[in-house]
Amino acid sequence: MAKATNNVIRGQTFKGLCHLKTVNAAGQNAQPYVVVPSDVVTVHLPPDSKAVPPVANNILSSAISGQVTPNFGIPGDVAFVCPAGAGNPGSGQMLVGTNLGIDVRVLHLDGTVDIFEAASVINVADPLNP
Amino acid sequence: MGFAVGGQAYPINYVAEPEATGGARIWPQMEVFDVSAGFPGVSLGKTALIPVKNGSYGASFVPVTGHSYHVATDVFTDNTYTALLGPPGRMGTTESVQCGLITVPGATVIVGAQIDIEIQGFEMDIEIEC
Repeated sequence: MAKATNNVIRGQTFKGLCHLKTVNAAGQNAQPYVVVPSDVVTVHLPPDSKAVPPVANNILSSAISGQVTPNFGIPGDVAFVCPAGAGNPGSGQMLVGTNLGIDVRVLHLDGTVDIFEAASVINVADPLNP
Repeated sequence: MGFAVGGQAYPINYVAEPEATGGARIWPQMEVFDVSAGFPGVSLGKTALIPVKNGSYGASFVPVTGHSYHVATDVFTDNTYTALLGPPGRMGTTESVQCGLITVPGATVIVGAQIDIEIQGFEMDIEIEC
């Protein structure tokens, strides 16, 4: 498995741009995944499961202004901004570790969900609390 | 295993390949001999691509009769017709194909079409900006 090359500091803002695609069963013929305005797109960051009590989830949502923003002009492109600080969702609630994954989920009006998984995306460090 | 159009049952052939994360992705190659009940917009030899609403990878997807699909998007590119249909169900659950309820906007009913359907997976690339 490839190692993550993106280094994130817990508690600091970082941004991401996701390129969502569909592929066939052979993992080929990638096509941009079309997000429509009625979809709710969420970005699932690694929660600090080692905290006491553990953080159950750390989820950014397109339902909240400024967190997740699909670019309807470029099919498949979804930008997100993870806020700084200790609030949830936010960078301060992320798990410290290496080769951590990020998931994106697209909730449709009919209740169905498409799940995009990306492993080994980020390394999260916390210099103030190593 | 098969599906029914206008009371007539038709077979579905399946092809399975190992999938990197374990298990298999299975996609049916479905031959539609009579689409008079309504399968517009899909012409002979074209491909309708169905993205899997994957709740989880690693399990088999077994379409059966009795479940309907709708068109999420459709694209014409270089004489290739691509219809993204949903919701086709989730991997690991029993889903189905009922051709009579598949509709494509602005298209013509084709009788005698042959349609290959691929059950697709999802992929994602992420760019992180710290």
